[in-house]
This record gives sequence, C-alpha cells and structure tokens, in this order.
Amino acid sequence: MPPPVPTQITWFGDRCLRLEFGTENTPETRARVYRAWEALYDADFECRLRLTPAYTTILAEFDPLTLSDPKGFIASLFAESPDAPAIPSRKTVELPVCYEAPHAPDLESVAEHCGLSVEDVVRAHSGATYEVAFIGFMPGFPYLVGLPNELACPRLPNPRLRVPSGSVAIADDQTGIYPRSSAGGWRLVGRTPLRLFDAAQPSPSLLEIGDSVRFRRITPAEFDTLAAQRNS
Amino acid sequence: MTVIDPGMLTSVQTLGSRPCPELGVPSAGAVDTLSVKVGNRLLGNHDYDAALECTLTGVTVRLDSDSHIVVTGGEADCFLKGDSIRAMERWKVHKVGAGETVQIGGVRRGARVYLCVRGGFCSDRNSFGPSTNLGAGFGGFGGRALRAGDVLTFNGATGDPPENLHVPPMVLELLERRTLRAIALPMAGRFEQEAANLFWQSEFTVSNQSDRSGIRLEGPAIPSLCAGRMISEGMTFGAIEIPQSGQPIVLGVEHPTTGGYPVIACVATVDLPILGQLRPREKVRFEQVTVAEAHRLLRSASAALRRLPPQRDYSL
Repeated sequence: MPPPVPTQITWFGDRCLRLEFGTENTPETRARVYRAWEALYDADFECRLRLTPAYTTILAEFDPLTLSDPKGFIASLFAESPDAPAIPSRKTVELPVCYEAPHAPDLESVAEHCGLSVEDVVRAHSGATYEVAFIGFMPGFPYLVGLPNELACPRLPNPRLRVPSGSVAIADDQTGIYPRSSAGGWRLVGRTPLRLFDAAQPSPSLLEIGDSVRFRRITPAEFDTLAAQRNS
Repeated sequence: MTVIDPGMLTSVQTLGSRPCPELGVPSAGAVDTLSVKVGNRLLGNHDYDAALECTLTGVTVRLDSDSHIVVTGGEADCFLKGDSIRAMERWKVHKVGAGETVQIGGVRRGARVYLCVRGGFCSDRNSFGPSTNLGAGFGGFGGRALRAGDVLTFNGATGDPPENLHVPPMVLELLERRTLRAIALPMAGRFEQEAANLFWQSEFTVSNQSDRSGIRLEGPAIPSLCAGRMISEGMTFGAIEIPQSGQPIVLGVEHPTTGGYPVIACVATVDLPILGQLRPREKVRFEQVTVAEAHRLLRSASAALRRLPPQRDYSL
C-alpha cells in the first residue's frame, strides 16, 4: 500500500507546513498519520524536515532559505516512498504502575466523576491496552489512546503547579505519563517508577509513536524498590 | 572561566540543538540567535559555538586563562576588572587576561545579554547537542542554569580573532523592533474576522510570566470559536496561541512540541530573535505579512549578515 497523502496542506508561519490527514481523531486518521510520518521520516535522508506527528496532522518544519519549494519536496518524498506495510511493526511495553496513595491523588475524583468505585477505575485502567498516538508536550510524554470510555474525565479546573515525574494521568479520553515533574492539569491516577526519558541514552525515549503499552499494578513497596533500582 | 555571580538566570546556549519533535524535544538553544551568531562571527568562531545567555540581571565571571570575549544582545553596563577597571563596549572584541573579572550589569534595554568567548564554551554530550534545555534538564552545563562557583571550559582556538569586523546596522535595528511581523493562519472554525482584526490592531503588554518556553501577552481578550481547545497538534517557536482567556501566548524555544490551543498567527522567522529581547511590561504589536514577504525579509537579513563572514575553517 502506498503511503497516505495529506488531504490538506497549509502554511503554518513561514517555515512550517501543516499536513492534515483527517478532521476527526479516529483510529483510521491516526493510522494514516503514522504511516505518512514513517514514510516521510525514512525518505528524508538529508534531514531537511523536522516532523511533529500528532492525532490528525504532521507539522513539517524546514529552513526556508535552503528549501525553496517545500510543497514540491514533500510531494516528491511521498512519491519516492516505497509501499509501506499496512500494519507497521510496533513494540509492546509493560509499565509497572502504583495506583495507591501517595501516587494517585486524583483517583477518587475520577471514580466519583465516572460513577465507579476506585477499584473499578484501577481495574479498567490497568486492564486496557493502549497505543502511543504520538510523543508530545515535553520530552518523552506519550499521548496514549485506548482509555476505556467509562474512564473519560475532564482536566482539573486548576492545573497543579507540580506533578511528580512518572505520574500516570487522565484528560478527557486520553491517558498520558509525565516523564518529568512539571505543572499540569491532567488527573493523576497512578505513578510508574520507570524513567521515561533520559537524554544521555542512545534511545532517549522509552516509548515511541506506534508502541503498545500495558500497565501492571504494583504496590507502594514495589514502587519504592523499583525506584531505588532506577536511581542506583 | 569561573562563575562569580550568575544573576537570575544564565545558561550555556547555541543557535539550537538537534530537535527531535517526534520525541517531544524542541530545538531549545538561545532565544536571540542573531546576537549569538554575530558574537561568534566577531570572534572568528563557528556559528554553532556555545555562548552564555544571561537574563535581565546580568552576570559576573572570572577568566582563568587569557582569552578574547564579546558581549552582544541587550543593553547593559559591562566592565573588565583587573589591575584597573575598564568599561567594555558591547559588540566589540576585547582581550581579557587570566584573573580578570567580567562584570555585566542589569539589562537596561532588551532582556538578554550574550557573553561569547573565542573558541566557544564546552558543554555536556547528549543525543540532542550542546544547548541547555532547562525545562527538561539536559545539555549545556549539567542540564541546568549556572551557579556561583561553576567552572566552564572553552574549546581551544589558536591565534587572535579577525580584526576590523563591523556589526551590520541591520542587527541592532532588527533587535529594537517592537512591531513583530507575523503570518496569519487559516481562521475557519477557529476565529471570526472581528477577533482577527482585534488581534492585528491591538497593542499588547509583555507579562512578567514569560520565560524560554513562551511569552505571555496582556491586552484585549481575543475570542476563539473553539472554547480554547482543539485536537492537539504540532507547534513551533513563534506560534501565537490563543487560550481560553483570550490572552495570547507566543511560544518560545523550549515550547511544548504539541499544543491544543488555536493558533492565530506565527511570528516570521526573521523576527524570532526579537522574542529573546522582549522584557516584561514592554509593548508589542503584530504586523501581517505574507509567506512570500516573510521569505524576502529573511533573505535580505541573511544577505546583510554576509558582510560578517562565518568561520569556515573546521580545524579550529
């Protein structure tokens, strides 16, 4: 199958083109974004584009002084791209997550909002398989799709000034993980002791676009043991 | 070089690191890249050599070996203290002896001063290059802002820097502009014409809550049609987001790589260095240009810089 071509290309400032692959955040649109991103990333071996894939779009940034016809260049990359496999290969990552105090400060508010017990929320959240739609916001932050519908919950009315690193959080129908402590408005339902991003490593991000993710429940004691191993 | 007083925020920066937006890593680097580029060229350095970016309050350092330095960027009083005290002109190369102290005072105009040294500062190795990403804590010097007592080394460069180089007038003219040229984005489903008119006609004040990740502006609230949130998508340095409050945010060099607020316009590439010199409480406006005009402005600025040639000898 040839890579999907954008349904719309528009300028986003004077050094970016916004490639759109659909208007709704659906599995089909995300699959088109993923395959198109992979095709462009592989074909652009001179690294003239910096590509930011997201749910329905890819932002392509370039140096306008050296790339005079970016639309033509992108079209040529798509044209030269070999047929991609319909189902791209992905790795599956299992992340240990503690869903207990003090690591899950918003678990009760999520349960209340969703009309479920805390145990129901944890069972549903840790029982699902997620897909990394893209890495965005900050280095290594995965936007995970696949949250069970009954767990959808809006952001906090007032964002926290400090979210601990490794916090697993919910916002609307997405779940994500904060690789580093930062301000944030997502609801915190658990925390992983693993390090998601380390710039000193050859592969700095534990998760990448297209990966499958599962969460494994651990106790606070296991969390402390794994956190100590990480820091040693 | 030893840091005596780092001021409120001083870090090691270059023209930009290797960005990996697919891993959530923005380019980071200096906010005012023009001042770094000019400083490096005056010293005969490579464009991508690392400099110190000092924010608002200045910096004091002691040279531990003989070197050449230049101070670029915003306006501040600069002194060299050795056996005597000498005032040091900005945008000019100065020879500094071991043991002498460089004192850069509070920034009076603009927001950031750059201290460049012959050979450029050494920095941590990582997957993304030499700039400090302060938000993510890597690169530069230990991934953090400099502290008193830190000892920085610089890459060896033999011989003296080139002589008789002059800063093209374009550089200072550009950095003093406070009407930023910007490209409008499609409005369909995001903004009504009246909201766009309000944006382009209004004057905004730079908020105190501005940093390397973004500049918050205060002014008339710009209404959007999407209640402040949309499907998250890729962002870039200079994109102007309109959150629910209607108060614009101009994304900085350490911007989130994706965002969910509607973007009304993007600052033209030629004017991005100005974002590094906007100080809190200053007034700014936006002037709409087309993509073709923005490219023409960028080419002409780039041509003006050719009078200050880059270093092309890579044996240095």
